[in-house]
Amino acid sequence: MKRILIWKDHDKRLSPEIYEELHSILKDNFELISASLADSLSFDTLGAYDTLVIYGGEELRRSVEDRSLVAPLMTYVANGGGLLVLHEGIMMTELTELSNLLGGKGAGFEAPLQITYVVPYVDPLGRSQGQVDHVIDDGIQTFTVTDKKGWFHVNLFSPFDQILRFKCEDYWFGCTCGWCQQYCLGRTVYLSPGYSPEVFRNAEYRKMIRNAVRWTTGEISQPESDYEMFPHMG
Amino acid sequence: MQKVLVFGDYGDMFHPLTTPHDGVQEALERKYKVLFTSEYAKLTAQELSQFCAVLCYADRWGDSVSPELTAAIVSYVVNGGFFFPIHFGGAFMDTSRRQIPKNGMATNELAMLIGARFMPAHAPYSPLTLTVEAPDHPIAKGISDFEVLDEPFVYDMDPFAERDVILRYHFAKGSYPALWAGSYGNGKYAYLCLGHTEKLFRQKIIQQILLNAVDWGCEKG
Repeated sequence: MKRILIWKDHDKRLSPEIYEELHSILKDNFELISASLADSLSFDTLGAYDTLVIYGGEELRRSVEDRSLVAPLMTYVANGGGLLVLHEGIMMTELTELSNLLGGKGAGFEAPLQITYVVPYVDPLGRSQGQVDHVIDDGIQTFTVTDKKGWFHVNLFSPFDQILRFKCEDYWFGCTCGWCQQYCLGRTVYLSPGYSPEVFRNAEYRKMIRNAVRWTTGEISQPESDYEMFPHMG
Repeated sequence: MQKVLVFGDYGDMFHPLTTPHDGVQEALERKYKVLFTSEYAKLTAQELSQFCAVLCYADRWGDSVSPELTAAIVSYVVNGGFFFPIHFGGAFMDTSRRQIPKNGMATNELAMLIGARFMPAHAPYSPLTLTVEAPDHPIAKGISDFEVLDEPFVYDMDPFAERDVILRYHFAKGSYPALWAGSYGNGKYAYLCLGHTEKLFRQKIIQQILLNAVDWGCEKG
């Protein structure tokens, strides 16, 4: 069974209920361990896990400010680790290295409101809202929750795949709020939803988190043929 | 004596490792032990960690550079190493053409590391005028504006990356970054776009730039 480390922050602002929800989403498929950032922030410790799940909080904020997060986290993912970053965990992308690791950068959240999340798709005419129909999106239906709307810049040089968008008035195809990429030998995913425990109780989002972790651990993969831009060559 | 590694492909048609070999050796040998290699498979993060600087003159990224080597370079740099690609060594293009990965890159991670992506079409070997943009940067020590013959490589610069552009070259009606450097994790990187000929690496000013860059990269803190 793949081993998952959930970074449990001591931040009192953060509801323990969110951890309870994450635990209940993943417990049947994975061996779960939770630890504080301070206790696990070394490559030797992280290397024992197949995926690391990061949410947010003050402890993460401090490790971004003093940059202590960069070397162990990048070494871990570069050498085959999986990383799932949720909601405010995007704060880590204030550091260029970690925005490269994740494939995008946060540009701020708005106050909570009703948001409809949709998965991008390639329609039968080949018009793509994302680059591919991604395996993380398999079986995920549109869902609506009360959440903070996040804005993001995707990294120009990242080979990211878009996996989640929210409906937005100005753009019929929605705005990107979830993506994933291969980084060296590892895999990273970012998903924006997650303001309250309620968001994590949504059945579609629960499936998506489970799929995301299955992908970061290597349990499921995208067919290579999806990326052959010129399959006739060679 | 600190050690410096230079890797590339001796048998390459366009950019063989013989091109920088003697010039780099001459530039660095008084202060550093310089080793050259084409054996990419041996370059693990642990192996790289014994070098204070790793210079890259690789050309055949698609053929030779594995994700394992990319992982080793990223790990080496974020844990305190200095990665210094030179000329086409910073292109990271998949030149094997068997399968074009996304973005046409063999390794996006290294393009992200140096904060720039090579733009594949370039003008031919031409006279270029170089000007110093950051005279206070340690790599610019003793360097003033100069002219060389070289290939005018152009890079798409990552707007989010932080870097110091130290030299720019002027060609036709444009001016482009030619040498830039920055920190990454606990380590550093630099990139020099010049380096097409053996003759270039023999020039005193180029050797001074190489030595300054390695001195800066190998200095801890």
